[in-house]
Amino acid sequence: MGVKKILIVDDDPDIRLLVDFHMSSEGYEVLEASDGMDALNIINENTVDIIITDITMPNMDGYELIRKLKESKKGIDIPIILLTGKKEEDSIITENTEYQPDEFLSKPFTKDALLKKIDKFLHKEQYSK
Amino acid sequence: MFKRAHITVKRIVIFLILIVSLILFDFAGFFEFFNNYFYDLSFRIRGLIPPEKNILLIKIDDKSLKRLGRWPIKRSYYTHLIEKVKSAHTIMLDFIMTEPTLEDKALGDAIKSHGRVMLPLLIEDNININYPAVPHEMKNTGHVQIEQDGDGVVRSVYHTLIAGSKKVPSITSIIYENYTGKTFKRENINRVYKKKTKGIIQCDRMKINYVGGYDSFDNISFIDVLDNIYPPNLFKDKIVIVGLTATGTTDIIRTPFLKHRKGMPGIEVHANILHTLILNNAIHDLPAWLRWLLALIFSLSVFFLFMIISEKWSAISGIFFIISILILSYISLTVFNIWVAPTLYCFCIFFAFLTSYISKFEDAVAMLGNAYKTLESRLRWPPEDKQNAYHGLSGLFTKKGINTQVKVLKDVGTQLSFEKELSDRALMSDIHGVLLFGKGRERILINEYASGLFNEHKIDTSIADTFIKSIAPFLLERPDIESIIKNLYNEQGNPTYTLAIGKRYFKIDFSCFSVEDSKYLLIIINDITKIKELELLKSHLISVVSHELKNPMTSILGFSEILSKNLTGKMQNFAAIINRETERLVRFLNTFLDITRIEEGRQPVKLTQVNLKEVIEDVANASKPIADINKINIQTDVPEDIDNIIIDKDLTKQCIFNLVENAIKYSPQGRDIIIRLQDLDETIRIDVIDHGYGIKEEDLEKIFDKFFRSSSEKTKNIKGSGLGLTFVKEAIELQGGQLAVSSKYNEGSTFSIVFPKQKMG
Repeated sequence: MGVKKILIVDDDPDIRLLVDFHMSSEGYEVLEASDGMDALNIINENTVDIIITDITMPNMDGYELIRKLKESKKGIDIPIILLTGKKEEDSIITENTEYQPDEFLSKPFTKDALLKKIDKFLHKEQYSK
Repeated sequence: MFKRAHITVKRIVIFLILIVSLILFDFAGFFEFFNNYFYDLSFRIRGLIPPEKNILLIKIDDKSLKRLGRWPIKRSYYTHLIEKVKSAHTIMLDFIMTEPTLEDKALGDAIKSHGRVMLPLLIEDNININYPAVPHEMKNTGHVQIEQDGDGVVRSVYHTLIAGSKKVPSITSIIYENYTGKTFKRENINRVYKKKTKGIIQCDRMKINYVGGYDSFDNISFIDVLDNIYPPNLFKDKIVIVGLTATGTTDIIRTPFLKHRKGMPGIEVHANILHTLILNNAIHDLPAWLRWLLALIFSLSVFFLFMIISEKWSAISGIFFIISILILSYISLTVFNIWVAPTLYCFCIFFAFLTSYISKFEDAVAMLGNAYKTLESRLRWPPEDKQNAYHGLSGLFTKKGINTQVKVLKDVGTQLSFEKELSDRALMSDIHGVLLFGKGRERILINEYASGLFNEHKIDTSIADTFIKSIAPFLLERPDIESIIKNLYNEQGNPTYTLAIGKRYFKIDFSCFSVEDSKYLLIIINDITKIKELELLKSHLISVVSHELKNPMTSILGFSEILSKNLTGKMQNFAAIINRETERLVRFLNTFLDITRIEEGRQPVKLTQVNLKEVIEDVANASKPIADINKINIQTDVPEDIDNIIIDKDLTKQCIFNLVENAIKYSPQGRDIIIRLQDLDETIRIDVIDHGYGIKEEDLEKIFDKFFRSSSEKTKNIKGSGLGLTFVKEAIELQGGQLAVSSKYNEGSTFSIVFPKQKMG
């Protein structure tokens, strides 16, 4: 497999930049999308290993994105980390109970916290390589 | 109200004193007038009892004197008379014949020849006895004294008089003895004699049982006898009493029968006495002691009866008793010849009524006094004039007492109008809705606000139950309506609910109160739309603001982290400061949101069986890195075995962690911190003990306040939000526990979490 691809979905370019900087330095390839629609387009054209998405975004928000992905063949296996303003343990989505993200990450986050979450899904494969 | 009077010793004693006084009055003769009146009246009501035919009166009447000349007539006429009636058994000549006349000898012969002619003798005031001048036999003489009572009525006769050393029998008792052959039983004279030695002593009193009034006995005219109008056998074996009746010649004697009209002449009285003696039907008095004893027993019984029945029935039965006593007294006199003087008994009944009435009155007044006292205690302002004049009978029977009552009532009236005005203004004003339901659950009061609100939404307010049912869908809390209805009139606990109706929010308070025995349900409705809107706005605001803060903070934190790693020297330091302070800001914001969530009731509490031993180990491990920085050793003091406890594990862990973090923050380097766990009987206790700077005594009670920070020289450079302890306290209390602190300035603090052990199942 080549370099692992991380998709960061956030309408705030600063956050995208931050994740890009942190993850690039760890050897990941970072793709960026500014909303859910944008993200779906990118996923269609690329193979994405993990998705980090914000909740509040124009056009299509994080919840909708999760629903769309979990219902699609291609997206069903991609781990999704949801960025939340709440505490991680309180963040279980109550509005759309059907689909939950695979992991939550409270904002603001440190590089370590972000890495920990990502490692949960990608770490083993990296070593097995 | 109640009819019974309280029977107290005091009242019985007062009544007994009254009765004893009445008996003393009776003894002193105060009731004589009434008694005599009833006595005489009884005779008049009874009327004439036809007398025995063996007594015949021969009157020297006006007709006789017309023929025989002026009084006194010649005694030879008497001689003639004895001749004419010689077949009579006894002849009584009721004439005092103490002066001698020429005809005496012939008369004496006639008397002697008949053998049973009775003559009166005269006892003078100087107790000399004047015997008739006519020759006579001593044994056939007797006195004719007739004793008048105080009112001049002759009711009795004394059959024996003692004049000096002489014992003089009454002429009637002599005739009785002669006629019947019986001996008249006289009192033991010697015994009587000892009492009095001067004047005339009266013995053997007998109450005359009069057969009737004037002209009751057979009587004929003196002159007619002399004229031989009657056959000689008319007089055979009879007692003939001869006496004077002509107008102006003799005393007219008043008897019970003739109270206001003409009395009767002496011979008729003697005839009545004789009749009483022969028939042995003299009237006897009830012995005084028996009368008084009866009065005492009778009046006590009546008194107790009157005390326990109503005054109306007392009055009715009192009148009934009086009439009964008069009737009984009449029957006793006329049938049994026993005189029971009724006046004492009538007065006893009257006084029993009076005493019981006053007692009941006193009780009523006492109740009035109590009512006043109750009233007084219920007044917002006690009456100014607190004299006790309205207690007891004096409150009703004196001008001052009544005035005080009037004053108090006026004061009460004023206060009542005040209270009514106050409650009207407070309750009926349209600041809030008011509904009042009575004990039958029916609506008795509604103000315009409430009726407007409920009419608009077509909610029936007429009955409490239907009202509750119809507002049920609008209650935010979704309470159990059946149990609310069941407990509506239960005074314990006044439930409060939120009513969301037509885009508005109302606080609806139920409260039950009772006045005397009636319970009322008061419902007060307050519009809290504004407050509710503000609350929503606040939480919305907090949520928006915090989220809006979090994006830029993510950038600041992330990039400062990158900078602090990549810069060198001073610049790296500055970036690290930005990073650290942002972290602090994030923590502050999170704690603030946590507190807000608890206060708004949004904090989810996940109760599970928790072993606190594990929790404490976790906290100790988690805080090790910070502790190490400060060269602080964290010790744990936990028992071998500890009961599980039902709490929220994460929340509690966070609380203990916060306390430990706080302890590290406020301890100088190298001071150890102890986390101690204790299993007490009823509770489980966690102490976080430090040996740090401690808290000033005056700050102790404020440290749990939001944003409060204790200030001292040593801690002024320690950064904190002033929210940490507030969060711990609220989070612990949310789980039913308690947070306490003890501290000594400069010596250290102990924060203690205490959880009650829940009962399993």
